[in-house]
This record gives sequence, structure tokens and C-alpha cells, in this order.
Amino acid sequence: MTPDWLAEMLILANDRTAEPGAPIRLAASRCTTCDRCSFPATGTCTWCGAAGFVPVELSDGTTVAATAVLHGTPSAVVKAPYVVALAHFWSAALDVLGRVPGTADPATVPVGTPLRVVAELLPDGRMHFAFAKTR
Amino acid sequence: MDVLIAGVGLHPFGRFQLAVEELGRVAAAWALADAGVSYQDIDLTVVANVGEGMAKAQRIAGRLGATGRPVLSVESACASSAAALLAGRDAIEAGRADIVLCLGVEKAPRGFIAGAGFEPWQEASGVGVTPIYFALQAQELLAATGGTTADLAAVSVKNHGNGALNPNAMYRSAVTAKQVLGSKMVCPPLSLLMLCAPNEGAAAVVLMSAEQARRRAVARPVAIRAVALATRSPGDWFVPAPSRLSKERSSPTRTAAAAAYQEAGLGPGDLDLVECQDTDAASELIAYADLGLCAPGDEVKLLRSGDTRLGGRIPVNPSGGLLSKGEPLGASGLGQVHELVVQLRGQAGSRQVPEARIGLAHVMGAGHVSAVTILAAA
Repeated sequence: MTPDWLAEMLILANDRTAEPGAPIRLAASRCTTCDRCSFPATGTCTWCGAAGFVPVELSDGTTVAATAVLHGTPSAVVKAPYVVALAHFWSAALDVLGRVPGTADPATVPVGTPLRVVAELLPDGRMHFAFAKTR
Repeated sequence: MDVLIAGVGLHPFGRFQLAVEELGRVAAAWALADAGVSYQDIDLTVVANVGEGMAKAQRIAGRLGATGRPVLSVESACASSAAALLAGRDAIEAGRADIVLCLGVEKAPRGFIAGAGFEPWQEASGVGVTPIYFALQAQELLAATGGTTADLAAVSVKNHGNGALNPNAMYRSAVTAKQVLGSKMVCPPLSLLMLCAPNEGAAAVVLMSAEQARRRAVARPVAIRAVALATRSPGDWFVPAPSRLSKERSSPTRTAAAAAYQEAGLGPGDLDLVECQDTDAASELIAYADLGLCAPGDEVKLLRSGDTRLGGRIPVNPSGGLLSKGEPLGASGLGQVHELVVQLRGQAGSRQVPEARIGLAHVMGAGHVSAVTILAAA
């Protein structure tokens, strides 16, 4: 699994060697001026434009909504069908879009389902993040 | 200064064995003839297009002649041609031009829209797919309003029925709810017939100052009462953002609509018809509230009332909308303006909205761009 550029801007540095399926943390940022969070993390707030920020980690969330991509797209390395969920991370007041591997049925992650961020091995060997149901 | 639409032209929306320049030439030629002017009379040409490359505006306008006058290129995703209208209108208001040609033209490839502003990691990992956003918004809308997939199907049935009356639409057959619900599922709850198809086409308008229109005795001009364009606020979420704020909700359409109503000195109750961005069936319903046609939460109630059908209190997408016309990205906004002008002139034939005097057009594009135009019979 290669923790290349794909991982570096999205995942905390200490988590970039995680095994597939292991819990990891996303790298978000909180603006010191407006207190809003951004994912991916950014040095300039994407909401108010201020420069100051503190790092924020995203690890555990819940499903806000979920759907499935049933037909492949030329630019994706993942194979359809697959499920995509919008996950709410209460600690940052952010909703983040991510895949939920291992299912093609969005009904398996209904609204309110606890999710955690995990390492995913993409078919091209790169590391990425995904969501998994919390057991 | 009043700015009038003196002429409109359209190349039908669909799939054609024609170059993008030819699509544009056809629409422009119709608009110039409709306005009673030649390309030599045009002070400024504004070309809206998403998919073509460098110097596209000059290349496309080059089919019309070589006048030595300014040609501008405008790109704002699906809101491109509304942005072109804004630029053209502003040029006349500023006194920099008397007659402007705004031309939207597109040859979009089949399938999912590529290049919608996603980062490479979004596309590679499978979350950079535009229908995902539409599907998730649809689910949240249904949950908030008590709507069902039958309501989404009803939007498609309505718009395809209107499109069957429009000779310029790509799909000119009415469909049943059973056909919509039984069509290929793309991203639940959205099936194929609940989504518009990117396609090809062109639309053009000739704008004039009121003084020019009077001197040229333009027949049945239509007044631009407002053009407003808005981009994202902190509560917005749309293609291609990978995340959103959980507790804030806003909409560039709401922002643009408020600005347009203020500029026009009108409100939603003054409208006789609306052409809105029905990229998918749920997007039309979301626009109902964002444009002020109903209160938030009442979108499905408004649909079920029948008020947005042809013959209803406020027909929405009498042209058939993008669901039946398809969406040539850079041309779709001016395609809506074409429909409004035809309606306000009373030339819409079997899909005519009786006694239409004021119409609103709305487009929304990737990158959180929304534009609202209000036109009135002059």
C-alpha cells in the first residue's frame, strides 16, 4: 500500500502506514477566527478566508445520507457498484463524503449508523480513506 | 438603462453530426434574423461554453464574421450562459455597447459529466461523481418533506410531458410514472429518467438598449428586469465540495433569487412561469423553495397541488426542462431565456402559458454558481 500524495493531504501523518481496514484519522482544520472546520485541512479558511487555524482530527461519525454508484466512471479506479455515505463528524460539525466498502446497498448504512474512518487499499495500490460501520 | 431582448435563436438540443461552431452559427443566425440585425451590427459578442479549449469564443464567433469587435469567453459550468447574459446586459447598461450577441453552445460528451471541478483523489476514489450529490440531496429532501420516489417520478412525468410539446427538445415523448420508476437506477433514489442527459445544442439572444430597439422598431421586445448571479456561502454544499458544514444551510439560488427579485421590484407572486435547473427531479423541487414559490418543506405539497403543471398557477419548466431537452451545459441558460421570450411573446403554441407577462429562469452549476434571470413582456 503506497501512502503517496493521495493520502498526504487527507490523512494524519502517523496513520499513513495503517493496514487496510484499520482505524485512521482524517486531517481537518478549525479556523481560529470563525471557528468553522474544513476538510481537507487548509491554511486559509475556506469559509471566512482568515489565515489562522488549528488541526482537527476526524475519526468517528454517523451516516447523514447514503447512496450507491451503480455504474462505473472512467476516472475512478474503484469498481461499481459501491456505496457512498455522507458522514457527520460531531466534533468538527462537518459532514464528509466517503465510500463504504463491502456493500452495494445503501440501506445497510441508514441514517444514524455509527461509522469510523478506516484505511482502504484502492485497486491501484494507493492508500485512501473509507468509512466502515462501527461494531 | 433598460436592456431589451430583441431577438432569440436556438439550435435544437440533442445529438448531431455537427461541429460546435456550426451549432453556434445556427443559433446566432436565427437570433440575428429575429432581431432584424446583421453580425456587422454587433458591438460585443459573449460566448458561453464549458468544454471547448483555448480561444473557443473567437473560434465559435469566427463563423459569424470578422468584425474586429470584442468577443468574450464566459465559463461558469451549468450557469455559463446566464453569466454571458449578465456580461452582455452590463455592457449595454455601462454604455460600452448598443447591441450585444450572447451565444451559448456546447457539445457535451455522453454519460457522467467529467471535469466538474473534482480533485484527482475524489475522482480516483469514486466520490467525484456528480449524481452522488444529486442523490444525497434528493434523499434529504424526501426526508424533510415526506415525499417519496413517486413524487420524483411525477416531476419527470410532468417535464417529459411538456417536452413532448417542444420541437427543440431532445426527448419528445411523454413518459409514465411506471416507466420512470422502472428505468435504470443510477444513484438511489434517482433513476435514469429522473436525471438530465448532457448533450449538444446552442441558444442565442440579441440584446439592445431601449433606444436602439426603438430606432430599429424591434417587434415584441422582452425586457430584462433582472440578472443576478451568486456563488457559495458557508452553508452551501454542491459539486465538487468533499465536505460541508453540518449546522449551517444556505443556497446560492436563494441568494441569487433575492437579488433578482429586489432588482426587478417583483416577487414570486408576480411570476407567470418559471424555467429552473432540473438537473434531476429533486433539484426542481429544491428550486421551488429556493426561488420562493413555496415555503421550505412545502416543495412536494406544491408539486402535488398541480400548480407547477402547464395550466397550473405557476407552470415550471413548460419547455420540458433539462429532463426532456437535455443539458448542453454552456447553452442551457440561454435555452431557458429562449423559452421565456417565446412564451412572453405568445408564440409557444401548444405549451403556451396563457397571458404570460413575467417569467423567471434559474440555472445552477458546479462550483456553487447560481443565476436567476427575470424577464417581462415590454
